[in-house]
Order: sequence, then structure tokens, then C-alpha cells
Amino acid sequence: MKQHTLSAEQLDSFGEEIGAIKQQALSQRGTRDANYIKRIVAFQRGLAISSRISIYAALPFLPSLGLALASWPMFWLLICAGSIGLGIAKILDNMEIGHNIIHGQYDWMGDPRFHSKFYDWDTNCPSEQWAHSHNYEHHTYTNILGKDRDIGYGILRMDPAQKWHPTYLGNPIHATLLMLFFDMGVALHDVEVDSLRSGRKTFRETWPKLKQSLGKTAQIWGKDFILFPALAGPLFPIVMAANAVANIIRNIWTFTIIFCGHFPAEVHTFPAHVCENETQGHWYYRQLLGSANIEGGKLFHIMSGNLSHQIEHHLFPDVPAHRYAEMALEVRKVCNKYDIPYNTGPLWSQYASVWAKIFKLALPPRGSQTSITA
Amino acid sequence: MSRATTTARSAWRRIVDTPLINALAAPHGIGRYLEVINPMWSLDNTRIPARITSITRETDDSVSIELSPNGEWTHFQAGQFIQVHVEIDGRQHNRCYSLSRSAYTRKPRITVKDHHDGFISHYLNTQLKVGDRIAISLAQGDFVLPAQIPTALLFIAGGSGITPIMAMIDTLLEHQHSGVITLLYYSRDCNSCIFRERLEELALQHLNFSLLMVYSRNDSQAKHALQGHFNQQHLLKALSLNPALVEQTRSLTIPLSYVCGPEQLINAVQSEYELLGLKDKLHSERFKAATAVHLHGEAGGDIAFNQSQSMVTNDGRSLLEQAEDAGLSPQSGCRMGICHTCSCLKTSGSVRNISTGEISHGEEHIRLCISQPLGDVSLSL
Repeated sequence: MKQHTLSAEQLDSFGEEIGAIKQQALSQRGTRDANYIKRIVAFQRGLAISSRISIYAALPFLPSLGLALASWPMFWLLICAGSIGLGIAKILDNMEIGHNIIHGQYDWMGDPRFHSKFYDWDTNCPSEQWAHSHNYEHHTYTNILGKDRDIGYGILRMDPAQKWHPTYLGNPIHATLLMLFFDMGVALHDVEVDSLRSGRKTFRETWPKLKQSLGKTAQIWGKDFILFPALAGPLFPIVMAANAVANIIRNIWTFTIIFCGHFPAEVHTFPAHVCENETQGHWYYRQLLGSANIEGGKLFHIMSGNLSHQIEHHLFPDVPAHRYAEMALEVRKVCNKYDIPYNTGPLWSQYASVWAKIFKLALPPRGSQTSITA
Repeated sequence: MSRATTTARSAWRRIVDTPLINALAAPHGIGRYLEVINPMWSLDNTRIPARITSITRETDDSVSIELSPNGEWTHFQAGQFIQVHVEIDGRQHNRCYSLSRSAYTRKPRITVKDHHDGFISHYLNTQLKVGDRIAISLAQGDFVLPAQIPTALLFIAGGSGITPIMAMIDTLLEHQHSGVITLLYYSRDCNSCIFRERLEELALQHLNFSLLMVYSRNDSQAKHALQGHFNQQHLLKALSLNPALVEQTRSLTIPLSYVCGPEQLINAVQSEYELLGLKDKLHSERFKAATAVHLHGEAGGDIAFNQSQSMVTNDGRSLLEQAEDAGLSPQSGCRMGICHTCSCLKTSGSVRNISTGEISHGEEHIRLCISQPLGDVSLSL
């Protein structure tokens, strides 16, 4: 892979131009952003309530109950609408609302409902832990091996520079499991269960975070798999299954978006020394090379929490995400000017590229493969 | 005294806001769903939605705003204040305002003076309309009457400092309190005197209530009024208005007193009471945080914001102002050390509490708005 390098002066002026795009967006924050997040939250809450109602509304149509309403098509229609709707509601809550609020994108509103310190999301990971592992570790040390634990989540081999080990033969299976139980994967991420296994941390050190994660998991799973199903009485298993489907839809989608943001083929990783005495310009440069965008329509961007604009998100993690689309135009112009690659592609190709990597890196390295340095 | 108008949260709120229902709505809680359907159904008692039901102009630069909060609002004691949250251009701002009407009224009311430097007070005076929705806190503050009302009370007010005192006097007189009530009230001039007509009317109706107005500016209209700033003569003159107090005034036994108003007035009254050895008899309420004392040679050092990994050079102002100027968005509220919204963990360094002068060293939770850094300070912000 060829790497165009910038001189220190070029990096500085590049940094200034990217910084100016950020300053402009920050100075424009106001009613438009506040109304946007309020409308999304209102829609999400409404969708969650109506989807749950739809799941219960399906039950009287179940033919095995022998009621006058018996109808398989109506039962399937309502139960599917309910599950998919609930899945979408969870995706919105976790991504466009939760992820972005916990990043502090709406802290300036001074409203506790939209403040990073107070917002909690409908998933197993305590928002406070995520703010540490994601906002701090991942966003500061993006794609730096050994510092950014998002590379492979401590389970997968996602970079050729990660030393091969026979357990990585299971890469595709591990990735599939992580995808299906991504909520648990994220919940245990900051607990660093992998460090426990490798002996870098003792159980005593890990326990407080683990306890917090398990408590949050009990709250969310208790709601979806015990309390709500219990409201259906003997039809408990049906509601539980519908809720499980909603959770799995959310898990597959969030896994897909997040893996497409950092692991497609052309995305770069970096050795640890680059972040020592790093300039603002180089930091922006590293964020740009370490992220990839996914192309799509407005609805797709909202459903991905605007992480489809992963590049802009990594450059401007605290700018309200609904602004990324318009900022992307400016960022691309600057990239063209400095001849910096801007990695973007449709979902299917980015996703195929991620899975190709998962399979390829399951195998031991053939010949010499080195990581790209900036 | 100052009994509640409503005693508790409305019944349906107590039924809906149960652990089981909230567990079903986890992690947001049921209130966050209800408020999406109708903002007035919010179950949040830190930001209670309230409709503006009437706005009355009191003087050229002050208005009284009557509020109709939802069922989270319970009751208040005369003299207490509320935090008012207003959203302007997507940003929430909050300030504290005293409730200015009898605690027996169903709808709380605040009176807001348009300070030329006050962004929120100006907004409330000029932009707010009947039917708008704002959010308020529950009533707070300990500037209230004692459980056992003494036979004589003295109130000293300056400018908009009349608001909590008006609520106390209203409540006492409405409750047919028979003890002696005296009000010494300072305003700039006759036209800027909030509640002038209401107070004069009360003084005519109730023989036990006497009123002494003082105007700080020369004013030919002020027939019976004194002029100038607070001094012992004013104090004695006010007390002598009521025949029942003449004997006490001569022996300088001053009744239980409440003062509220500008910093200079409160300071003057406090030092007078200290001189008389009557410090315990005086309750005071400040509307603004005392201004930061200018420190010589003590400022300086750096303020490190650990979470956002940034640092600024300490310029001696409050940590809240300096953090905001550094581009951070810490949560903040009253900006005078009351609401604790801006409470933050200081991981190291020393700060001076602007209102009390106390110094905090090392790791401690502090309120940013009233903390003045002394040298290097690092904050978990």
C-alpha cells in the first residue's frame, strides 16, 4: 500500500483547516440541534411503546387459543411489526440518541435529559463505562495497536500486526458470536475480561466494573426477558421470543455499522509511538486514515447514528452528529487539497471487506506483512 | 405557619411512578415516556413543567409571572425561591427567583426585575408570553419564618429584594397574624418601587402592619418617605411607627429581622446588627453570589480539566466562568452556589469559596460557580 506523507507544515495547515470546519459547526449550534434531538427522542419513545403494544396485540390472534379472532396472518403481521419496530427503537436509542448524547454532543443544551453525565441507554453496557472505553480510549488512541482495545475487542484478530495464535482460527465463529451478542460484548468491553484471562489484571481489580455491567444487564434483560413476557401470562415464551428477536436485530445492525467504520481493507492502524507529542494536525490525520464512511441516504445515516460518517465522527466526536453530512462536504474538499485518501463506500462492499479480513486474518501470516505507519 | 396549599404529589403520579412500572420503562423511567406524549405529564420533580397563566407588569422594569405547574409541585413556605429553567436558542438557562405571593395561593408567582445585565431577567420581562411553558424546581431555601411566629417582626427590603418579604407579609396577614409587622423598604424612587400600591393598601387595612418607604434618589413625590441609604435612624424610625414597639425601640431591643436586597444593603444591615450585638436576630438572603475578592499574587497557576484533557491559565475568576471560556460545557444552574448543579470533583489544588471565604484543599466535591482557584487546580471535568 502506498502512503502519501505530509510535511510538518502541511500537517499544521491541514489541521487548521479541519479545525475551522469544527469551529464553524460549534458556533452554529442552537435551536435546530435541540429540536432535532428532541424529535428523534420523541419518535424513538413512541416507536418503542407502539412496538411493544403490537407484540401484545398479536396474542389474541393466535389460533391455538381458539378465540373468534384466530388468524395466523394477523398474528405474524403484528408480532413481526412489533419485533422489528422494537429492534429499530433500540437501534435509535443506542446509536443516534445514546451514542451521540454520551459523547457530549448535546451537553451545551444544559438539559439533563440530553446530557452525557445523565443519559443511560437501553443496552447492557453502563453508559459511564462506555464513556471511558469508547470516548476516551478508542477516540483518543484510535487504531493504535495495544492502546485502542476496539481493535478486535480483545477477541478477534483484525489487524495483521496482531500476533497470530491458533485460537484466531476461530475468528469467523468468534465474530459471529460477537455479532449476535454484541450487547454483551460491549457491556464487558470496559471490564477488560481479556486482561483478566491474560493475567494483566486481577479479579479484584475487575470486579467493580463487572458487577456494574452485570447489574445493568440484569436490569435490561430482566425487563425484556422476564417482566414484559410475564405480562402475557401463559404466552410468556412468545413475548420473550419477540423481544429476543428485537435485541438480535439491534445487535447485528450495531455490529455491522461499527465494524464497517474501522475495519474495511484500506483503513490504517498505527504503532504506539505515534501518539507521543502528537500535533493536532497529525491527530486529525490519524483519525482520517483510521476511519471509513458508509454511503447511504438520510434514513440510513440516522439508523446508523450517523456513524456512517465515521470519518467526521472521529474528527469531530463532540459536534452534534446530524451535522456530519454537511460537514463531510467540507472535509472531502480539504482531503482532496492535501491528497489524503477519504475512505468511503456502500455498506455491502465495506461489510464484505470486513468479513474478508475476519477470514483472512484467522490464518497465520504468509510471507511478510507489516502494519502501515504514518 | 406557611402551611402548604397542596400537601403532596397528585394521586395518579404516585400510582404510575412505581418501581415495577419504572422497571418496565428501564433505563429511562416511565416519566420520560409520558413527557413525550404530553410535556405536562413529566414526572421529573427537578424540572417541573409550568404554564404561564398570567403576566402582570409591576413597574417599568419588573413583572410578576403567575405559574401553573403540574402535579409534581407540592408546596412552598413564604420566603423560599424556585429555580426557573428557560430554553433560549436550544440552550437551557436557569436562575433563582423568590416566590412573591402568599403561600396560601394555589399558583406560585415570581416577580422579576429586568436588570440591564441580566440575560434571563430581560428575557422574562420582554419575551415571555402567557401560555408559554417553562420548568421550575421545587421550592428551596431557608429564608423562612420560624415555626413559632414571634409577637414582633421587622423586615428590611431593597429593590427586588422585596419579593420573598412580600410573600411573608402576605402570608402573615392572610393568616390573620396579630403580632406587629414592620417593613423598611428601600427603592430607587417612587416609580421603581415594586408592590407599592399593594403594600400601602395592606398598611391601611391592617393596623398591626406599618410601612416605611425610603427612596435612595431625590424624589419630590415621596411625601412621607425618607431618603438615602440604610442607617440606624431609619431603623429606629421604622420601629417607632408602631406604638407597640416604642418601649422596645428605646431600649434597643430589636425584633426578629429579615433582610433581602442588594449586597450593599445586606452588608450595611449586617454590620449595624453586629454593632448592636444582635447578629442572631437577623436572617438575610442574597440574590447574587458575593463578588470574587480580587486576589493579589494568589491567582495564577493552571486549571487542568482532566476529562477533556485541556488546560487554561488561571485568571482568578470562578471556575465555572473559566471552564466555559475554555470551551467546556459543564452543567450549571443558579450560578450563586445554591442549586449544586455545577458540583464537580476537584482532584487536586485549592479553591476559595467566594460566598463563605472557606478554602478547600485536595480532593473534594466543589461548586464551580462559587469556587475561585488559588494556583494549580485539577478538575474531573
